[in-house]
Amino acid sequence: MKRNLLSACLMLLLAGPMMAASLDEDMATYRKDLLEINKRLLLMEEELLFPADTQVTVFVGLDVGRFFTPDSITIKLDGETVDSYLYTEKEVKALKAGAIQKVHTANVKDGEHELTVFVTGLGPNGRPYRRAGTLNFDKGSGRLFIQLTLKDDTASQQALLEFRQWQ
Amino acid sequence: MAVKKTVAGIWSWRARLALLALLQVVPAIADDGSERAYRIDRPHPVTDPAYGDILYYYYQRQNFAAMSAILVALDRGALPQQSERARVLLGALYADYAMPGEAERLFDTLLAEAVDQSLANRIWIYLADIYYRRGQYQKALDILDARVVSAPDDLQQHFLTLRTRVLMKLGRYADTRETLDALETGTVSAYLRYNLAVSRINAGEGEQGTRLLWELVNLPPGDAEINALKDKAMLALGVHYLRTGQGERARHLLGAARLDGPYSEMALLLHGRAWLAGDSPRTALSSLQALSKRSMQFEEAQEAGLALPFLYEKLNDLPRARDAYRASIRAYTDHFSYLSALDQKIRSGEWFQQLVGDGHWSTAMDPLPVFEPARVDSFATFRSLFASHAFQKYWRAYHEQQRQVHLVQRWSQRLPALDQLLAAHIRKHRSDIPDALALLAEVNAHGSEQALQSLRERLARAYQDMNAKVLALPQERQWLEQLALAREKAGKREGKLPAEKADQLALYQGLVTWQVLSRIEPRRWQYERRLQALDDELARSLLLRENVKRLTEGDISRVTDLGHALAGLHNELGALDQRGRQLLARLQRVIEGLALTQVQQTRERLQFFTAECWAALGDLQHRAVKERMKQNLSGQAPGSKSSE
Repeated sequence: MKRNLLSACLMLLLAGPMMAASLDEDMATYRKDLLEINKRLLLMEEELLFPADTQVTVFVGLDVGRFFTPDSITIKLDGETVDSYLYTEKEVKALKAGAIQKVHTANVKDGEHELTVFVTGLGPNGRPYRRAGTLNFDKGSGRLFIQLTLKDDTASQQALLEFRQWQ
Repeated sequence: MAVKKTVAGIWSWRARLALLALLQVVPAIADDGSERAYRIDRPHPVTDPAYGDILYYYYQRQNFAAMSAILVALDRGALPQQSERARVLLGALYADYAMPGEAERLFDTLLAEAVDQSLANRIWIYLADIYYRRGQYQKALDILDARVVSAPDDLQQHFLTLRTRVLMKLGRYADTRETLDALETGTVSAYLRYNLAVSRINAGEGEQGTRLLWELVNLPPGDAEINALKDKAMLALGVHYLRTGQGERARHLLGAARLDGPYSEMALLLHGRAWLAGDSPRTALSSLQALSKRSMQFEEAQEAGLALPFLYEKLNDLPRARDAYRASIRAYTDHFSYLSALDQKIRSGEWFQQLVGDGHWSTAMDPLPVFEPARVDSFATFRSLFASHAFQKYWRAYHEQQRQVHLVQRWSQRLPALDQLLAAHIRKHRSDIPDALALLAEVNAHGSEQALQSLRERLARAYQDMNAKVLALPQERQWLEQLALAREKAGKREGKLPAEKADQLALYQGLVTWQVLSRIEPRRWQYERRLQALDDELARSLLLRENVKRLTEGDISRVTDLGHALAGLHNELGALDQRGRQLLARLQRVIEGLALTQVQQTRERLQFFTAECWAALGDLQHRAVKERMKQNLSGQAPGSKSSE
């Protein structure tokens, strides 16, 4: 009788941590499954919205960012404004730390196109600053990536726009 | 006397509780520190834009989005140069996201692939952290000491913090102190110092422990967290002095304790206890009176309800002691009723709903919302619970789970749009593919390749045969044809046409032929160039045709695959939603269970305190009756009749 009572107490004592461990494991499994399905959905959404053959993606990055702190960016594709974006402090911080923002994805036909980017923000000495740059690109088959880098030019103490593209 | 013993017993029991509460390490807060240390937030070169995109989320602490971006980029092969770095980051994020099993598997795979030494150092530190969290301290230390060649700059503090914790858990306090001294000063360092002090005191190394506590007490005033830790260190010192019979030092120290902040109730109680244990219990009166006026929700105020009348009793103020015992019984009874109602509220789920409130779940990628205790009426009741590691762990897990359920719901809402997109693709496929196939058939039937080949052969033959007619320009060809015709006609009219005219025609024909053949090489080049241009055009046309053919064939399988995948996703999302809700309910039950356990413990304590109050009241009554009887007996003169 005494032994039964003791084992019942022991079971009760062990039940709590075991249940917690099982809950932790179930949560971890759920998170794994969720990440997997989220990935598949993101891939499918992109595949449906922007098929590889027509997709053009524009990335924006800062190189050092001493002479320029971006405030907003406007993107024109073939003369038409397709996207505008206002940056938060956290986003600017991330860009200054070396991150790259995927700012716009679009569908374009094969052939020649014109991409124009306007960036506003604070330049040297905290003065409002505005830069613009244009890239003429030829879209072939397959995805096209365009990277815009706002580079610090030490000589002029200003930011320069630099485009780079790759398939 | 029996009551006094009981009260003294409670005091010592209470003192033990206070010691336990104060002389305990603080894992919840220290864990927060370790989460911060997971960051790899120093700028480093980004060569793959997809990796830069991952960092864009990671640097903003949007860990779920960062993990998703890594998985998508790896799936798409968008990290040709930085996939290892991204996978190490993914492992770190898994560990941070309470997925240690996944993290360990990934790290083991990376180590088996013989990654770069700097990345290997990083991986070993993360692995050691996982073992530490599992309680495998020796294994964690072995890794930190033997495997990590040098900690990366951005993980240096995390490495030292982890090593400090591991050494502390292993009881190697001298080594712990050494590692701790190498750590940058700050909140994490202060917490670790407190934990080390408490561990050393509990291990019987009082001198070393108190030295560390004094270091904390003497820290310059900082933010609310540092100030609270300073208070806690001061109280821990007071408890230690009381425990080791250094009442005077304890009284001196506790007299200087702050009377605001999260430890003010504990400070008042310990101050009262220190003076009560000394020679001048009257000095304890103000602390206990102040404490008894505070909410009965505080454990310290509950205890003051028993300590204050005991103090009156000690000061021989028996009427006030009696009143105070009665007031305490009333307060305990009221609080008991409050706890019964709270118990019902917890069991019905109302308490939990109040606690959670209306969260803002605008996107699934935002960092978790801050816990706002002001929304909860019963905050004071659960103050220690809210600060506990267990509560914090499941509370955060609940919020995270809620966000995940919202994410699943959001995708479920977006699936119809994806269905429509797919339907548009299918429609386009149905209308465009037959047209494209028909065009392909038409172009193929045209036989462009054969035609071009035939032209090449004709040119080669004409060059070989010196065929002026083929190589002539249009004008020359016209002349040649006309001259040939004229000569043919002249032949038919032989005899009628002067001979010199016929010779003249032959001469002209010879001249034109000469003109053509004398330029045969440039002519051939010209034709070759034109044929080459046609060849290039044909190659382009073939490429286009190949593309169209591939797209028509690929599109069929692509659209079919997308359709199957989408149908599967509908079902999987439904199942995931259900599982997510079940987990939410389980987490709620765990948190409610923690609250109910505390309510039950408080009720038991209140029952005990109430019983002690009644016993003390009975004792007082007994004393009063005895004294009255003694007075009556002493007032009765021998032989007096009235007393009888």
